Amino acid sequence: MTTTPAFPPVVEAYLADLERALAASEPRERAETLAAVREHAAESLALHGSDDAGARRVLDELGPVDAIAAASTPSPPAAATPVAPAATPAADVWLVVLAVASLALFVVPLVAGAAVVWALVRLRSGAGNRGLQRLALAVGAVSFVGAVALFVSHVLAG
Amino acid sequence: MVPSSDVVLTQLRKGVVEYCVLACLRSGPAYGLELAERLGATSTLLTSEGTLYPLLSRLRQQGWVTTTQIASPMGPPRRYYELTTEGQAALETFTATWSRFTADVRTTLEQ
Repeated sequence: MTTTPAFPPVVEAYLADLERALAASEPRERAETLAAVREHAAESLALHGSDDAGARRVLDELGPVDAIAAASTPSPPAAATPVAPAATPAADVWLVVLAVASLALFVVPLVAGAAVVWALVRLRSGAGNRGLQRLALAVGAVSFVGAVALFVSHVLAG
Repeated sequence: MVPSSDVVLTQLRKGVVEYCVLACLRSGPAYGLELAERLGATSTLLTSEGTLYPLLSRLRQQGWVTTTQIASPMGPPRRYYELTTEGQAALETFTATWSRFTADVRTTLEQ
């Protein structure tokens, strides 16, 4: 690491401004630029003197910190983390299985009712796979209506 | 809108100044302040001496220059920049292309 002598306050302030101006620059380029400008300032101050006039001259020759920052390469944006597609929750798969089972067991409307209620609860929660939840709700509702129709027709026939 | 000469210069410097820096190193290694002087304090090539350093960092990362720290009789060690073989080849390619390009530009502008 290069050591540089203590600078006049105005030069230290300039270097601090430069460090801030380069905050968004490519990290390695930023570090090398800061080190090289410090060395340039030290060399130039030794040449022109460290008094106010010398320091002003050195800073004028180095130029505005914004111009140096504009000449640097911007830091590359952080790579975006790919968002993995949400996995289908097992609960929704089982919900569909229950709804389909309620079709086969439509003579027992309790199963269809449970499928409908569970599907509604899942849909209201806003979580999981809404497509599967709607499918289960539709299948469960059809099964429940079938069971009620069967019951009514049985009562009427009796 | 008519661009100012500063705007035109900013555009023209892009892709050119780095080769001017390489050309300044053809005569031998140089440290930052020396290189700034070789480029010319009053020339239009640099906006200011400080803008030389991000460019030198890029040239080093490209492998077109190398740096070596050498003790200085005044102040901290100097960072000397030296042209690499690859940098020399890049400069030769640029020089050949630049000659054709500037000839075409001059011919067109003087028509």
